[in-house]
Amino acid sequence: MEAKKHKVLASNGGYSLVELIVTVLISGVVMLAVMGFLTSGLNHFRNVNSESLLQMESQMTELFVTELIQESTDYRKVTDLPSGVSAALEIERGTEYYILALVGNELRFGTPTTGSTVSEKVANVAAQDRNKTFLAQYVTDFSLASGGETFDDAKNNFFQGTLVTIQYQVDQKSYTSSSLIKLQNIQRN
Amino acid sequence: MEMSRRKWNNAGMSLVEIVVVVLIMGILSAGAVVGFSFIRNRDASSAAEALLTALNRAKIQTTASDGVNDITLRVVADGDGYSAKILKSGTVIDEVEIGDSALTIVAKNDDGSISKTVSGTNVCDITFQKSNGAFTSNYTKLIVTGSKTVTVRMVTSTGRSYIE
Repeated sequence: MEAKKHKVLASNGGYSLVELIVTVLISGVVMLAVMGFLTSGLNHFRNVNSESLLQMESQMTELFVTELIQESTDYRKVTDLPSGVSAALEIERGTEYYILALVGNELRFGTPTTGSTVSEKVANVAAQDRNKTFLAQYVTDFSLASGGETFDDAKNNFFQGTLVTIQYQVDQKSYTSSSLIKLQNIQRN
Repeated sequence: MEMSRRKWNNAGMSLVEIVVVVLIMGILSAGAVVGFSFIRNRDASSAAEALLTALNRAKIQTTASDGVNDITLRVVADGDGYSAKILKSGTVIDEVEIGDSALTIVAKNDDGSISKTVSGTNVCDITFQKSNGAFTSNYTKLIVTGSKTVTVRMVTSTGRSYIE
């Protein structure tokens, strides 16, 4: 009796090696399960994060491009592209002349300082310092119907417009923005 | 007896010993967490990220606002650090925490003729054009200095910003 009481109050037996190993194994299994939850949660967060990133990017770019084309007096798709540029547009607004170019995954916007042919002008804007021309990132494709078409606004009011499509991608998540731009200063046909 | 004790000592650790070890580890890791957050507060790159978020939000607010060019992004230094406030006609509608007061933030233009260090009375106001979201303020870079220096570039003609 005396011996038993002593054992309960201040047992000096401690844990055996086997007990410790079992504890470590069990906590290992628990840790693995927790890690699994954590990584799946992180993946979900990344997905949502890149989607909102692309939406924000698109929102900021779309307004700029819309205003640019809407107010333009003429715009032309560039067919003779210099190397490193996958799409480009010449834009005229009165006497002002701009180039919109897709360089790698970035949209650049600026006025050429040198170049006589269109291709040279596009190459010049693409080579200009990023801190003067950066417009958008994560862009994989940029296209629009050249020259404008006639659209019907469903109330039988016909207007000259063009459909601009910009595709974005980050971490396997892609986003496409399409907007129909009404041309204010261009009358064709 | 002596031989078997050495080969297989069953004494192990007592519960009290393990509790003490866990307590010490807890105190150490709590200290590490506090230290880590302090370093984070001084970190210039997280401040630059926050500035970028504020710039993008202010740009979107300007273009989406029902008023014309009534949105201002104001970078201020107050008691506990820097923050960026988005003002609509002078009223705060959004606020982003930038970082600890141990940082310094300097706003500059391209040729360096404008250089403003953000402090108590010196605030830095950044504005955008409603029609296309381009910058109407003259600053082209925000230089954040902490344990290292990070520059946020502002592209005047497009209204976009990025971390250099």
